[in-house]
Amino acid sequence: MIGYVLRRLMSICVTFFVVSVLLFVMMHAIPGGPFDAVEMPLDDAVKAKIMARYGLDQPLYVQYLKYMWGVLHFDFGIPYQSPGETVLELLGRAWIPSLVLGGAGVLIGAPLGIALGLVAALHRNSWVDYVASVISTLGLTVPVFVTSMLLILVFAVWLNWLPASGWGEPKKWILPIVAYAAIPMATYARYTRSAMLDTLNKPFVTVLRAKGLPERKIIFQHVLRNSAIPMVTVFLPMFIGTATGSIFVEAMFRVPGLGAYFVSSIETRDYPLEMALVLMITVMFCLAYFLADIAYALLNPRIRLGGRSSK
Amino acid sequence: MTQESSAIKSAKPIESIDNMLAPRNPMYYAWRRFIANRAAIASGSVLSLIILMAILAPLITPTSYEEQKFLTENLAFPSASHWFGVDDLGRDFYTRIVYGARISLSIGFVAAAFSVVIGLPLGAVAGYYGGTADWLIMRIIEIFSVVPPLLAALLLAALAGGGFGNIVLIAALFGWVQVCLLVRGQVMAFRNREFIRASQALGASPLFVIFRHLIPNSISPVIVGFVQAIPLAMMLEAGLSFLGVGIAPPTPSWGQMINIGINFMFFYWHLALFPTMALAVTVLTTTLFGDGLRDALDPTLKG
Amino acid sequence: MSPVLELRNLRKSFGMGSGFANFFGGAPQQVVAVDGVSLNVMPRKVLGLVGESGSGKSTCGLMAMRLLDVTSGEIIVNGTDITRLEPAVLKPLRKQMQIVFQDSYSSLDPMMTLSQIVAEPFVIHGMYTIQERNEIVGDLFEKVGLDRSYRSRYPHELSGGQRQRISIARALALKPDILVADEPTSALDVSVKAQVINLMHDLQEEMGLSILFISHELNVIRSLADEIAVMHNGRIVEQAPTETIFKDAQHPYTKSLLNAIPSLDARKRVRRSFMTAEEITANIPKVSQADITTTANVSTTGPQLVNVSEDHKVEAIVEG
Repeated sequence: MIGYVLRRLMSICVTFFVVSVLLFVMMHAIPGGPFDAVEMPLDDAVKAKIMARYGLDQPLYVQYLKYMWGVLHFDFGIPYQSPGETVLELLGRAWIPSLVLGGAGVLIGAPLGIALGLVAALHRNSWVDYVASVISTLGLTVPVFVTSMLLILVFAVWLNWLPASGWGEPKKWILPIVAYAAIPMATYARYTRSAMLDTLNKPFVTVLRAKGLPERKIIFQHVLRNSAIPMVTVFLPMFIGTATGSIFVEAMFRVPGLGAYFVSSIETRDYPLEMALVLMITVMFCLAYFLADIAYALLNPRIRLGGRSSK
Repeated sequence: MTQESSAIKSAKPIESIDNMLAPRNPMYYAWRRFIANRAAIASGSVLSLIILMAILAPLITPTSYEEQKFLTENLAFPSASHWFGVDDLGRDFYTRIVYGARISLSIGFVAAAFSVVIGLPLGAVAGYYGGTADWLIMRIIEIFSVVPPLLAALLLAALAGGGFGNIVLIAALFGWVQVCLLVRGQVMAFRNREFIRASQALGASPLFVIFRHLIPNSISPVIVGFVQAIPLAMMLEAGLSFLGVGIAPPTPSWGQMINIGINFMFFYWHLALFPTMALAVTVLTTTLFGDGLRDALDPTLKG
Repeated sequence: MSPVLELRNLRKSFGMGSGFANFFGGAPQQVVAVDGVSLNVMPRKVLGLVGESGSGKSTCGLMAMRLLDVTSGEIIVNGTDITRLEPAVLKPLRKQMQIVFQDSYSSLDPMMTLSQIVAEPFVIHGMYTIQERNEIVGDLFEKVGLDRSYRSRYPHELSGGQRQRISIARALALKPDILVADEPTSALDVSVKAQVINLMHDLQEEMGLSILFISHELNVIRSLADEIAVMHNGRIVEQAPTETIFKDAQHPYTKSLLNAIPSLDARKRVRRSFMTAEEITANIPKVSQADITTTANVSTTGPQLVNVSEDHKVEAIVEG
């Protein structure tokens, strides 16, 4: 088991470093630097001085090494677009809206999805099942910005019940959270339904029923636990993916979160911000997948007790 | 020879000709399963309709998509003469939506094709040779899985500029992984089947085995991968155009139109509604059609 | 007369776990599947290779066909050492030896028609025109007892016995000198077994084939084999002409195998006692140098294969 953990860790680290190199190269390959903006034409000498100050005049690999050294100390530099704070501070500030909205979306959507899947599985092939199927299919296939758009149109424009944009008050949070909740809900509804149907058909459930165990106990104590493995392992990556904010949702609802800052960083060629954002999110995904792998290995007795990985 | 053995010796083969059943290719059964799936059939029909409309666009639209003919009726709501209304630059909105279908569908199909071109050989090699080759390809796939595709696509699009060709390549770059995994899984499953060994015993080279046996038996995952890559590519294009780095105006793209529509949403909601619905319906039907294909061709490929 | 197929001291060991796993994990475990097997198959003769699952007999067959790499030892076909030949050099030589597998369903490519399957050898070796191939394939069909009208059918439309016939037809297409049959009847119903065995017998006589017939079913082998070799734990423990094995088995393992054959004859139904592995090891025959006809190392450290008579070999411990 330890061997497995170490191997995955090494693998993830290698992946991360490869990604960081690629990103770095890509970023600096974009023609035109941050100080080439036409609106602020700079004198060549001044430009050279600024470039030197930011270290932009050095060869690429030197810049990379210096940068990664900083990253290991959690120093991501200073964003060009707001030199008053560090990138870390800016991102910390920007992450809050994404985390609140996205996190709430997942934390509300997942349980709802599980409940939906449960009900659908227990009333298989009834109208409840059918409706749940349709909802989960729609949730997964309709792109998130379409959902957001429809939510805005229906609830803000036509019915005028809820505000459509902004971030300040909780009332403004409702629609974005609903938009975020769609995918987790649909995913978990699907997983729960199919996992439960699989387990309910297994012979050991019939044995439990024959023993006289009440249906409720059977479901919660036995069936759900067996179905839990894929659901648990998918949770962390999903949470990370949603809690880092969707570019579209934030654009539509005018939320100043990570997604919004990413878009603006590309437009303004703000290297430190861009790099930091993608690196941070990549690290979080790496961590999420790594933990999910570990969780799966722990939960699956075949791997935990088997000793040798099946890879 | 004992009594038992001589009894065995005298048994004669009894083979009869069964002419009543026609030879049935395995694909035939897949077709039957597909027909039985109502959602897939419905989606397929709607999708065919959309494709047809896209192909016949010039014939079914009153004007071209860039002519600003109706400036006097700017932002008009849907009416008999303008089925979807008029957009902010005086163009017939219905026309723009229909031509937008061309963009989305063509990007979807071409990008999916490229995804297969990249993913199929990589998956076959990874599945057949295993070992180091497989390890390497899985590492590459891991790299692609860890970086959020949208962010990376955004970076690439900003780097390369927008435009049809670049968008197709970027979409293919993020679509090949799924195809590769599907093909790899199938090849690995078939790798140790005895007919592969029999072929090798006959003297077949690895290339012969891959092309003559493994790839034909991988048709199902390839078809599934291809059809599933289409909606992904379409969404990527719509997303990039929405953020301004995709297809540039005046060429109509639904993503781009949604972006504009947001600005006018509160009063002229038709500018937001129609591209949104068009995109949603197209993505939905392609996805359901793809799922139907997957279920028909190989139910074991599910989730 | 020199043997068609000669296996000399074949050894095969499998290391468990991939290279990277071993880097971080524990020490790699080795499983020895075949431990020094030597066999000769003479022209126009059938050698039966018998043993239980896991005895290594299939591994021997696969190694003989160069479908598995050999850890040590030699494989000699018609006098040529093919053990380490490059694929390109090996390819034409493959025409001399072919194999039929146990699982008839997975032996045939589900996407190919039967005539394509049987014609594949010609495609691989670039032999004959399309017309000629059609003719020859038709002849092969007849030879294995299938009507020519089956040409355009697919494997899934056939029964197990019919599929095995197709496998045999494909194996015989290149007119090999030796056929390795790896449990070809194990997956078939009893009556179909008989048909396939009959077929193989007829073909063997007609084409002058040598067959290495691998199986765990003694009664099946009895009707086909001229000589039988018994394998246990990767080694040959006894080898003799067929009837000698059945009438005068010396090794305890052979005896327990024979004991295990079910019999329909009520008179022969005895209460069978099965020997455990320890009992078998404990009962290995001990012979003295005088009893055997080959020179052997006198030692009590381990059993070796010795001749107790001219054509009868047994694994025994040799004592002074």
